[in-house]
Amino acid sequence: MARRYSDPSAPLAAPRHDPAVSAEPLSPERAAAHLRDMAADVRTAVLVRPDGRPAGREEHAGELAGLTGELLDAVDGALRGERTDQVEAHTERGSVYAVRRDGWTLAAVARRSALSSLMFCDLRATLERVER
Amino acid sequence: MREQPRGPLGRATAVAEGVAAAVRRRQRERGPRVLTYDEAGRARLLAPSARGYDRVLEVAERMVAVMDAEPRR
Repeated sequence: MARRYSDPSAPLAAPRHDPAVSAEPLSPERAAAHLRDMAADVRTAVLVRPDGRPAGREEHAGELAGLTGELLDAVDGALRGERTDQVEAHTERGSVYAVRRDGWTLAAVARRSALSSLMFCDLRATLERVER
Repeated sequence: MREQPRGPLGRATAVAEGVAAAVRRRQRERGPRVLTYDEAGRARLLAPSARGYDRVLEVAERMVAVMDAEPRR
């Protein structure tokens, strides 16, 4: 069952399947769907390969992969040489989270009400499990 | 140490100030913002005046817009 971070009325007694705890490797093609399954606040996600291509074949994956690259380029430019592997950007209509490691980037578009700490926890857990 | 409000009027004023501060804080949190994290996990708020800030938000808005074109799950 996916967690809905922003829903305080979610039943506590609901059975909790926490895919983040599993140590099984995850194929790159499955990573975005896995993240969506894990966190209901995620509206869409994309795993971007080191060469800039999306790992999955989901709708909009190519467009989102390109935009993720643009986002991180813009952040790198804004930081003037300082390195960051984790970024969040909040707009009026939603939030974007991105984590990168070893050239791979996992990005998610989420509801504005999502909790950043939990989003990053799920993003990092998913990215660490991806087979490379 | 903060002085305790005296009398009903003082307490009402303190409550109103608390509510106003909470509203301002909430509005600030709802506004556009960009945060980056270093390797130790320390957050850094990108200043709106920083070079590239507008560009980051513009790209983020485009990413959100991709999903706005879709029916909500």
